Amino acid sequence: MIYNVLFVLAGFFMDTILSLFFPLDPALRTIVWVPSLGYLSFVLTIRKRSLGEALALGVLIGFIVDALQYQQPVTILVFPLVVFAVKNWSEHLNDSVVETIFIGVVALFLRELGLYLWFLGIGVTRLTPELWFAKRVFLTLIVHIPLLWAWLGVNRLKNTLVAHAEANRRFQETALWRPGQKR
Amino acid sequence: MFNRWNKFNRFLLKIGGVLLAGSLFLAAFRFSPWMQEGASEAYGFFSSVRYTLIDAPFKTMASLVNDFATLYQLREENRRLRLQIDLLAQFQARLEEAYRDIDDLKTLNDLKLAMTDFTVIASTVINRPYGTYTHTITLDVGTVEGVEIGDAVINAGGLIGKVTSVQSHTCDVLLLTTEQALNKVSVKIQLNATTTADALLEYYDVNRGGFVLTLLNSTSSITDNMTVITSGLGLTYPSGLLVGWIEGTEFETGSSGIQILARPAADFSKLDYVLVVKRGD
Repeated sequence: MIYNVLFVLAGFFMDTILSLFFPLDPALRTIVWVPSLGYLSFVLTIRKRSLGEALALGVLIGFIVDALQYQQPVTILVFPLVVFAVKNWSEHLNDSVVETIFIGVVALFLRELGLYLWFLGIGVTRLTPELWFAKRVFLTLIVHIPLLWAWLGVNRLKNTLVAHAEANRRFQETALWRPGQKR
Repeated sequence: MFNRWNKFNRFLLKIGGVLLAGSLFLAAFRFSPWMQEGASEAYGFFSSVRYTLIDAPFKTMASLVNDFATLYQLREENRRLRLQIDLLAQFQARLEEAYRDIDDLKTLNDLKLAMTDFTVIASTVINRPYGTYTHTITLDVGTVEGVEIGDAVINAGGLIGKVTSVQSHTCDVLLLTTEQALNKVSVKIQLNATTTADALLEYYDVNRGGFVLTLLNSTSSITDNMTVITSGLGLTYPSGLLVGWIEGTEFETGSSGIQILARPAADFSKLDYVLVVKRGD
């Protein structure tokens, strides 16, 4: 578990660094991309977890993102919905790089759609769907394809560490057994 | 299914439930001013922690790398600036003379305050929008430093917003890029060196990428690239702060009058250091 937590934290850490070098323009006069490696790390992590656990993680991470970024409860609602979609769809996909990148991009789109609908619904934005896609979503999806491909290397490293830790745990397991004693 | 969950999963679910309920509770009561303040304080705490632990060290490193990378460029810039500094003494003398004239005129007219008088408080942005939907930034100055609700905030480019809530050492600023009509500003369009036309900045139109201004005098002849500055009439902002330039002259007749678009002078992607502007007293 600790490796998964560190993996997601590393993603959000990378987002912070990237956002310092590529600051967003809230005026949206230019096309923007929203660094989302933390979110993609979360999506990669939940593929291997049970639905209940993934939902709880979605709420937890959604709360943290809301507290640090949006300052209102939006991702705490959007993330669990994305979890449902990703978990259900993941069952029909393999673990190949192409399919993982594909599901990552779809998860990004779903998050962006959820955020857009929320902010449109509460009247914070009047952005038209065409401009929303052209100015915010398009570049975000495109840029994250190579980034996610590179990030999958870190994910493989994390999976190796998790497997090692699991093997170690099993190796050190002992069972008390005394001949003749009923269990 | 629930019985098969181990202790950790049940704990995780409980934590998730509490957070979800807490967030929804805060959201539901955000309409109440004191709850709004409480939520703002709570979220502000998280922002401060993030700024201290992550943003500030990385900003320092990034600025150091940038300084080295632009060293050659800075030498050239320095040479040009030195030439301008030679002229500075002349400009300063003229400016001081202008200040004396203003003081004399104020005395003659028995005025305590001119609308152009203001003082500034330098500050650092400790929380800025990560997305494009939030239009609030947090500054590292508050009531202790003299910041008050309604103070204007500018950066190197021009006016960026106004203070909407103040804590002891931090304050929140609502940017002019907000699409909600919450940040109206009395402005004037400079028709020529001596004449201006009054207008009202209504809101930021994200689809057209500019501020929507309502002209208060429809007889004025507005052309492209005219400068838009604050007029000081709203008693919130001092006059003379640069807001933007007229972009295109496509007039639209809205419910409140003739509307025109202005492109912002400030670069809203560069919000590291800003100045809080207080009207003079």
